[in-house]
Amino acid sequence: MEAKPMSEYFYFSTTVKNFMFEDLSFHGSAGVVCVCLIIFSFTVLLEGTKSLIFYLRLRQNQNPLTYGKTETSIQTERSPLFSALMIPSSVSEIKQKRLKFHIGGYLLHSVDLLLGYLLMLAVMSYDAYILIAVILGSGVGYFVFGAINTRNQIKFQALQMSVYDRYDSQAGLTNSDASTNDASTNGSRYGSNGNTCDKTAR
Amino acid sequence: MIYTRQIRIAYMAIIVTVVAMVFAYILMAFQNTTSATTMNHMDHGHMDMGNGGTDGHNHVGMDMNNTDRTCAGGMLMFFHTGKCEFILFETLRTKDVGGLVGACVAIFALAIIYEGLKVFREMLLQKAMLTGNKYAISNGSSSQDTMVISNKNVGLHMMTCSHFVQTVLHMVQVFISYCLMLVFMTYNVWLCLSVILGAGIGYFLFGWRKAIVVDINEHCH
Repeated sequence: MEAKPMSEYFYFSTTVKNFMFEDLSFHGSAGVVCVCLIIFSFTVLLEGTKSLIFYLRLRQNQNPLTYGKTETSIQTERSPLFSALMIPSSVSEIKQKRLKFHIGGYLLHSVDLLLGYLLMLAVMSYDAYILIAVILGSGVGYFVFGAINTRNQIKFQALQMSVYDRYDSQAGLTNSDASTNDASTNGSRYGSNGNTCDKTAR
Repeated sequence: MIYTRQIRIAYMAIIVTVVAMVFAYILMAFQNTTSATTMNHMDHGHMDMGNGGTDGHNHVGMDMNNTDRTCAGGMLMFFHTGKCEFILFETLRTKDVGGLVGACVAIFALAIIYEGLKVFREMLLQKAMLTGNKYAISNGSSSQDTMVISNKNVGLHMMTCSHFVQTVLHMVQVFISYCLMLVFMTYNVWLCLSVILGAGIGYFLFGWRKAIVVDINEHCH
């Protein structure tokens, strides 16, 4: 009976023996390249799953007044009636929406865990090529999906702030004069920008 | 840079850990060479005392064999307190208590640096998002135009210098997290304790600046 981890330190090798299942081995440099490509794509998938989880959380915590505005075409978001239609009208609808978010989050988290542990087991074989593939895959994955995460976060923050702008301008809390209205909404936007900055920089 | 007391503590902690890591590495490298020279000395002593009493001769012989025998034994997949481990690389090998202490200090410093790196990345990300946010909002004159920032600015976010820096730091963070996992996998109690304590003290020193308490980028969570 052999010790389960084959090696106790990193090594470079042209064969991959008993990769994660009993008789799964790859010989030659083509085999190693194949395994590294598979691990690379798994790592990019893992980063993508994390990005999806982030997006799901953003949507879950979205202000209900902004439901109709997440599309990017101008026609749908210029009409305030569309966003009014998207607000759930009964408690059971709200419960269904919450349930869908929970189930989606659970599925995504289980995929995340599965991929994470798979990659951990792959790195545990102490093969240096596989470690390099994981690191490169996480770099590329973060490069693509991290930018998407930042873009989504800014979009949802802008949506959140636009609610308060509209409320201020329509409820008449600021001056009802047109020119000073524009100036004050600009000022309130920068002001609330400062507030959110302070909150996130806590 | 605002030099509050806590930031000063954090910077000093970083400097101390870097110095400790360098020190530990030197100690371990020194340990390997000195153990080789002491074995040579013992060899000479053995040959000199070979003509003398038999008890001393046997004692010296057993000592020499013992240092080799305690370091045999392969990978034990249960928690054990030994002093011979491979630390991640073939050249980093601990043979006795001094080497193990050096390895523990190095892993402790590595865990502290890992926690600090996570917080540092989050700070950089928030700074980058603030500047990106101002750019996006000053693009439009009314609140409705800010909705259209969505798809146009992905290119902006991907090709900025700060995003490249974040990507490189992400790769370093992934590497360190897998290294800490592999060190924990040696199942050596002292090394595991140093990982745990290092992570705890790193969180204590750097965690007060975290806005999000649970990071989705955490591996092995």
